[in-house]
Amino acid sequence: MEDLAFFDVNCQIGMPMCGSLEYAAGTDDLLRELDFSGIGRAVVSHVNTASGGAVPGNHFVNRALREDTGKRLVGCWCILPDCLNENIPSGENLCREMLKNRIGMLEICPVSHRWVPHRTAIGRQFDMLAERGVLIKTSVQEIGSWNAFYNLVERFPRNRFLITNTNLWGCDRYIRPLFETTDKVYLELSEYWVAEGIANLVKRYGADHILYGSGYPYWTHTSQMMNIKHAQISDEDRRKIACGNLDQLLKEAQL
Amino acid sequence: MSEKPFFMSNKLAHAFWENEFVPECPVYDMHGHMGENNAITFPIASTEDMVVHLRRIHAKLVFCHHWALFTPEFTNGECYEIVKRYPDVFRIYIAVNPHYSEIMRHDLAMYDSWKPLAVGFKILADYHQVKVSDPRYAPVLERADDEKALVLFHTWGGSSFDGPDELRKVVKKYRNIRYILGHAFCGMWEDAVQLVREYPDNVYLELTSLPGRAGVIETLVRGAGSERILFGTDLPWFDEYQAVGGIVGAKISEDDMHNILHRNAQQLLPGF
Repeated sequence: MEDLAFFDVNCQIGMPMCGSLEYAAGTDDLLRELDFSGIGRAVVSHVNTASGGAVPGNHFVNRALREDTGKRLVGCWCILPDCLNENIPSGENLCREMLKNRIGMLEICPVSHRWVPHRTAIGRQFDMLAERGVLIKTSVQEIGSWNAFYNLVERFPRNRFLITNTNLWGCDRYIRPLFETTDKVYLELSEYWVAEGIANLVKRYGADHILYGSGYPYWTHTSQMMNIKHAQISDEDRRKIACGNLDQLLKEAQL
Repeated sequence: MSEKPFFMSNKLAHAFWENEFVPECPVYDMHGHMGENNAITFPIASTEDMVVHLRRIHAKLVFCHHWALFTPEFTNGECYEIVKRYPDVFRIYIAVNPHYSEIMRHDLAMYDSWKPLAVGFKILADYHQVKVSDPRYAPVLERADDEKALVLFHTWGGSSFDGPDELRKVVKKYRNIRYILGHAFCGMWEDAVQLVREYPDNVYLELTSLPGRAGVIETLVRGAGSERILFGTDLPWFDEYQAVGGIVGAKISEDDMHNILHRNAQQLLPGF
C-alpha cells in the first residue's frame, strides 16, 4: 500500500483553557505536529470554542487559516441560533463567508453554549445547511448525551452530522442503530479503539461513513493512524477512512 | 510536509508501519481480559478470535477473564483450562473478588498447580467497591508478598478504592509484591510517577487506555523511566495496533519503546 494520505477531521488549535500536556498554540506549532505525525491536511477548530465561546473560537480559527500559507488547513466554525445576532454570519451569507474564509464545515456546542438544538432554535439554519450538504460536527459531550444526539438526528433527518469523541469504553450500541437507519451520520474515530472494531464496522456498513479524526490536542494523531493502517479492510476502504470520505464531503458542500 | 513523519524517521515505528509484526519487537500485553461484558459489544471476545488478533502482531497476553471478575460462578479454574490450550499466547492473573472469601481460599490452594500459566493476581477494587487496603484482600496480598508475585491492580486517579493514597498503604505494607498499576492512576500522572520513585524496585506503571492520550507516555517515561513501564490494552477493549501506534508514535527513544513493549515484561515473565 503506497501513499496513504491522512486528512484529520477533528483537530484543534490553541492553548487549552485548563492546560494540557500537549497543544499547538499557533499555526506553525500545529503544522509541525502534523508533519511529525505524517498528516497532510486537517480540519481545524479552536480548542476553547466550547469553553470560551463561538465568536472567539471562530476568530482564532480565521487567524490560523490566514497564517497557513500552504493551505493544509480547512476551518471549522461554530454556529449559534442566529436570532441572537452574535458576530457569526447567518443565512445565505454564512455559506459565502465560509467559502471566502476556507471554512469547510461547522460545529455546534449546545451544552456549553446554553441553547437547545430544536427546530425552534435552529431549524431555519439547519434546513439551509441540509440543502447545501454542509457537514455539522458535534461531540457526545457537547450535544449532551447519545440520547440528545439521537433526538438531533430525528429532528433534522436531512442534515449531515459528524459525531466525535464517542468515548473509549465502547459506542457500538449507540452508533450501529444510527448506521442501520440513516445515511446522514458519520463517525469520527479518535475514541473508537475497540479491538478489530474498524474492520467489523466496515464489514457490516461499508467505509463511507467512517472518518479519521485525531482529537488533537487531547489525543495523539499516531495511535489511530496505526490502527487504520493495519485494519483488515481493503486498501480502497482504508483510503476512504483516512482521507477520501472527508474530501468527498467537503467537495459536496455547496458553499 | 517539511519533515519526515514518525513512521519514516523512527526505525521501530517504520517497521510496525510497514509490517503487521516486527520479529525483534514482540509485544507483551500485561493487561487483558476475555469474554463478553455488560458495557460494550466486542467484535472479538472469544478465545479463538483473540488468539488470531494477538498472533497477527506477535503479541502475548496476560489476562483476567471478564466473567471471573464480574460473575464469581465462573471460576479461575476455567480460565486456567483456556490458557492451557494456548500456552504460547496466554498467561492469567487469578481474579480476586473480596466478597467471596471461600473462592479466594480455594484459588490460593490451587495457585501452585496453576503455575506457571498463572502468574499472579488481579484486583479490581473500583468495581468490587472494596478499598485495596481492606483486610479482605489480605490472604492474597500476603501470599503474593511471600512469593514476590505479580499483582495487577486496576488503578484510577481520584478513586477512593484504588487511587494513589490507597495503593500507597498497600505498597508500604507488602514490600515484596511486584505491583502493576493498571492505567497508572489515570489522570494523576504525578502521583503515579511519585509512587514509582518512592518504590523503584517493585512498582510498575501499566499503560492500558493511555497510548493515544497526547503527552502521557512522554510524561511517564520522563518521570518514572521506561524501565518501570509496561504495555497493556485491556484487550478486547482496545486494539493492539492502536496502542502500539501510541507507543511508537510517542516522542521517546526507541530504547524506551522496546522497554515498554517487551523488555520489561520479559524480565518479569521468564520463559514466556
